[in-house]
Amino acid sequence: MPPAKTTLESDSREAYFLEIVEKNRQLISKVCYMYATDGEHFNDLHQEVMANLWQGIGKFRGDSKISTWIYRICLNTCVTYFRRHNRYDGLRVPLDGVIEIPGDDGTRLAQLHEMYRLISTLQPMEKALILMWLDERPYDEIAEVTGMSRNNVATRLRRIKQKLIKKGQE
Amino acid sequence: MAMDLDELKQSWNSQRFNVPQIDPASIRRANAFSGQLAVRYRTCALLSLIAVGPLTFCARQLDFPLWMTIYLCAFMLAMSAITSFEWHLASRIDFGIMNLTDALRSVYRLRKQMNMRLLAGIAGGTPLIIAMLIHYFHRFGTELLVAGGAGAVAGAIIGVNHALTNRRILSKMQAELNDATSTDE
Repeated sequence: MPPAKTTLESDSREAYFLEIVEKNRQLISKVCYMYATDGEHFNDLHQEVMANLWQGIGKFRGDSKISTWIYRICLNTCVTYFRRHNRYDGLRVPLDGVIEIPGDDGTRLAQLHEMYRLISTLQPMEKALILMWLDERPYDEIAEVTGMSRNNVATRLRRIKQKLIKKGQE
Repeated sequence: MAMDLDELKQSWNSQRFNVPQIDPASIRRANAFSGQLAVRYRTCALLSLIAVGPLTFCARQLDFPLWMTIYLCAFMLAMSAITSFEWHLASRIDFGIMNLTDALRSVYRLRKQMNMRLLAGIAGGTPLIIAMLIHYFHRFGTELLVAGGAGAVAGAIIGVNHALTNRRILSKMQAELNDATSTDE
């Protein structure tokens, strides 16, 4: 739960912000990475997400899980981001060294890169759905964040998975 | 590549990102795009409103005909009103509350409004600029006419380029929205 409003307006707001950002660092990076086209774009998205989180944290009342709220802000920011980059295509330049898998000999990382490449061909909303599915979020939460019905989420996810498998076999 | 999505899911959940820790000082400077946009709209709306007074004074000093002075003031007031509406739209964007479909819809509406303002600006401003150039020509000669004409052409190029970019983004966002809101289950 967030600290009381009075304390949020003081220095503890910053401390609370840093705490939730640190706890959800992987989640934030994943979303930005999914929508970034290169290193500069990744940094821009990351910064924009941080700014939106900082601005929104004072209004967060704990009605939903903090991770759901962070997902909402990250996805809304990344999907609607069009300030300096009119980029709706996916990752073109792999961001080497940004991702690692502990204990991996490189095989799983290569698979992961390939998956990112395939996902980069999807539409922004499809990316949001597959990202939350990969993160093992329940359908209800995906529906809440995207604004779709639960059934629509399930149908769309099934199609996206088929699309990814097909693209992977090409 | 044969894809085993469940296997990939495991890799997905094991990945770790090497991103630098956030600098606390940068947080205080953080200013999100939607916030900046709202501030810019508010500033533009206020400037358009405030400009009416000095512009009326200048128009009188440059011997503008009365109809042109009234047109100029009406144009500035109309632009101020349109920009105020955009300010209202931008200040309502709250990514912490909106779902993705609503956020897309809001941004789409904002961009659409921006395009409309641009069109209104061109439609309303072009006759005014032409009338002003003719007035300058009759009143001050060709030198000011050439300078004014060059300025008008440069402005038109920038405006058209801006409109085309907006249009491209809008069509992509529109396609995305149509896709998101389809219920063909």
